[in-house]
Amino acid sequence: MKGIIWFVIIPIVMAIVIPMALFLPIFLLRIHLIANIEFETKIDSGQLLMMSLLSSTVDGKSVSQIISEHVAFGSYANINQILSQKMSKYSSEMCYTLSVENEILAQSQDCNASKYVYDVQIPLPYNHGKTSATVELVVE
Amino acid sequence: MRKGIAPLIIGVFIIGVAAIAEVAYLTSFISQAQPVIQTVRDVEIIRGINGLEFAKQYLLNAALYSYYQASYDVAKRGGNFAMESNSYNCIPYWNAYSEEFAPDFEANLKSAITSVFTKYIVTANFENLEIPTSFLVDISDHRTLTISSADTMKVEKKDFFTAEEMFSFSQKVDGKVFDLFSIAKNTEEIVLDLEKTALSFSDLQNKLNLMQDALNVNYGSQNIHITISAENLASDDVNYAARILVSISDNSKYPSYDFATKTFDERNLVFNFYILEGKSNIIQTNICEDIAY
Repeated sequence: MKGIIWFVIIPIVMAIVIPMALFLPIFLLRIHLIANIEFETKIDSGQLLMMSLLSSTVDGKSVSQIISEHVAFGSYANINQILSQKMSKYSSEMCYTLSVENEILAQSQDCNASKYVYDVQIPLPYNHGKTSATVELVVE
Repeated sequence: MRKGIAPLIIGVFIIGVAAIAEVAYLTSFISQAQPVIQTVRDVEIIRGINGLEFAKQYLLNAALYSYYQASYDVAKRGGNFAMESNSYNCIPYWNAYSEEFAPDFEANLKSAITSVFTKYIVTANFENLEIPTSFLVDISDHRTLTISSADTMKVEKKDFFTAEEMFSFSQKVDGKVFDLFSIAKNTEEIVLDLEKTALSFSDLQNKLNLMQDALNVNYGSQNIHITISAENLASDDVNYAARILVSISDNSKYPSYDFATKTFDERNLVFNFYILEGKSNIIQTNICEDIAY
């Protein structure tokens, strides 16, 4: 009986435990790498979306300028409508929140985006001491 | 003894199989490492290029806002940026008793644009990006603002990726400040001609009022408004010293910061300058501080 334990069960347990001890960190590293790459790739896609949005135009003015003037003067009462229409052209099903300086400019209904955060600086009309604002896009 | 060897062989066999599986997995993992590294690099490259594109977009809009602010400031100071000529309350004397102090308006406007645009560059937070802080400003045909540098914008990532982009932006501008300057020069000539025929300060004031009305009719269709006011620095109506303030404004709405009132708003452009004429040579000046963007 003792022979079976020494010569069969222990080698089998070792055969499982030793490779597991070696495999597991490598396996976890791989999962971590894949998750990170996926996250970073999604961030890049979000940046591209942001770039496309900010450089697109409405009545000859870029969205970046419209947001800047809205921050400076609050001059666009319908900015939510303008930006919601723009965003719906990229994807009607996207769950997002677009904000600037803590003011929500546009957001999709019935969802709360929090997963991927993209932010970018835009220049504001010259106001001594304040020359830029940060636009933030959060996508689920 | 023979019974003891069989389980040992089975155990060794299992360990051997596990070792082979592990080697195979490790080999597979290492062989996949290169694509993973490449993907990580690709992500970094895309991010670097995105950063360059964002910076270009930022600088293009910053160029337009720099033009607005510089136009407002230079127009308000009668075509000057740093007030080198004689001035009173930061409004320059373009002509004092037939002596000309004409500003180099375009050069001054370019200097002001350079100062504001530099402020935009130094206050921006461009991650991993090198942006030239020395550049040239050009305004061709008074309608196209170009900012360029011999240096490039550069992004570098961990010794494996460098991207460079020409530092050159062109932005369409309305050129209204040039139109106002041109009208201001014409108005100066008319005022100087008019003064030659004035018999007294009262006579000059009447003639200036008539001319102001005529000019406003002439430029009204361009939404340009001209005011001409005169004060006598001497006490004598005949031996007068007329300080004539000419203000030319339009209906533009320039987003601008006013350094005198320290307020930010949408404002009309106003081109101001003084002319001194008369029989006395009285001149009043005071110090005008430089604008510090």
